[in-house]
Amino acid sequence: MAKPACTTCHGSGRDPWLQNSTPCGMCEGTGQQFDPGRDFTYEMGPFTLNAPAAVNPTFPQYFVGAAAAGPTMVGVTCQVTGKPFRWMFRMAQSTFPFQVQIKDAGSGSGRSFVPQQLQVHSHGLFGTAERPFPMPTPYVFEKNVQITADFTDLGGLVGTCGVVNGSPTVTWTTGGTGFNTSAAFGPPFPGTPLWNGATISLGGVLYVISAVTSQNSLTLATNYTAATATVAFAVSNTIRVQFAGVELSA
Amino acid sequence: MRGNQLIFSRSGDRRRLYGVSPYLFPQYTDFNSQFLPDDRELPLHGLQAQLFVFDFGFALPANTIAPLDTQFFPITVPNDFLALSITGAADVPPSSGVVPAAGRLVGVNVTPTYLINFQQTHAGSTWQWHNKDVTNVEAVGTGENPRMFKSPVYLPAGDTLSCVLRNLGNTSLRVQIVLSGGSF
Repeated sequence: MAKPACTTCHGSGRDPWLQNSTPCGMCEGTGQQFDPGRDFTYEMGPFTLNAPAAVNPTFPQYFVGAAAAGPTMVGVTCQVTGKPFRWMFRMAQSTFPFQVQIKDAGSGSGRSFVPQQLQVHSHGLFGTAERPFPMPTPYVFEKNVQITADFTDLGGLVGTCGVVNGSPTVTWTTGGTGFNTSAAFGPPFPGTPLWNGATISLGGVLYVISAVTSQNSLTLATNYTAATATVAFAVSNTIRVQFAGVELSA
Repeated sequence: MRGNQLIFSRSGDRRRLYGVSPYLFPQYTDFNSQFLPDDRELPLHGLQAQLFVFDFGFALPANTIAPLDTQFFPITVPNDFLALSITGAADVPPSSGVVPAAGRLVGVNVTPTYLINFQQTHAGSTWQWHNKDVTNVEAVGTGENPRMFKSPVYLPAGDTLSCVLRNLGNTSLRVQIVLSGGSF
């Protein structure tokens, strides 16, 4: 269906009040009536990376959660419904920082928003509800297309560790290069490791990490209460990405 | 700034109306006009949303910056591009394996974290965006508080833009800088 003509320039795209010398300010020169749209939000996820059990990823996933036992998830999808969607604000919620590459699967080859095809750090890309990151240029996803994204977790880890009944000390055995000791840069100086206060799954039971003391050792907030053994551990990153904007009429 | 604003009156006197943009309003309320580009806001037509990423260790682990070292990341601009904001993120790679602690000489977090500059080459001429390298605190925003360029930066197709970063910490550093804007 053709879009109605701009009521100011009547479709010419030129400003009639300035003798057609400049583009019409109301429709920005398109000649089409501006559509303010209806407030709408698409949410991708929640899904979990570095999930506790060896879960098979459920692809494609739409609005339901998915889980991966590793740090990456490729081709996560979000289905745009029967109306075009103007993406205006980007927001996200996650346990730890992550990287993402978002694509418009409806553009044929899957247009990436990064021409170099690199994943982007979440802190540089997403805001929150209190402080959303406005898209300098809103992007319109056509109706019935899929928004797809590839994710990489930057904070979590899965592996095995040694635990002792009645002790809060956990000893790393396998998985990555050891427990994650990294902290975000900047204040508060000198920074707190990301894992301090995070939740860790030990043999399927959740505990809270009090402090990471080194790559090989961490301390729980409470004593471990099960048989002394080597068990699987997982520190997971649950991610939601929100595409906020307006749904257009056509 | 010119067309999509709400109209408020601080005094109630209609002769003293002033415009308030919804853009960045959550961050800066009615002071947001001080942070917005003078010429352009919320363009709906003519630009395709695009991001230019300068990666030092996140997506490309080999680019991790060694302690107190300097790294370059050049991009050849594939199409005309207007950069409207700059954001970034940095951390210590997990594999560095040192728990941050006050008093350490190695592996501690520092702020400012790195020095940054851009070198733009156009038709054989190269110039810098800053007269000297500046800190991340002065030059880079975040997703929640993006630093908007006061005037959109035009990058013609074919230009080369190099991001130059110097690690100010005595530990390995990962950094990613993102220019948000639109191509045309």
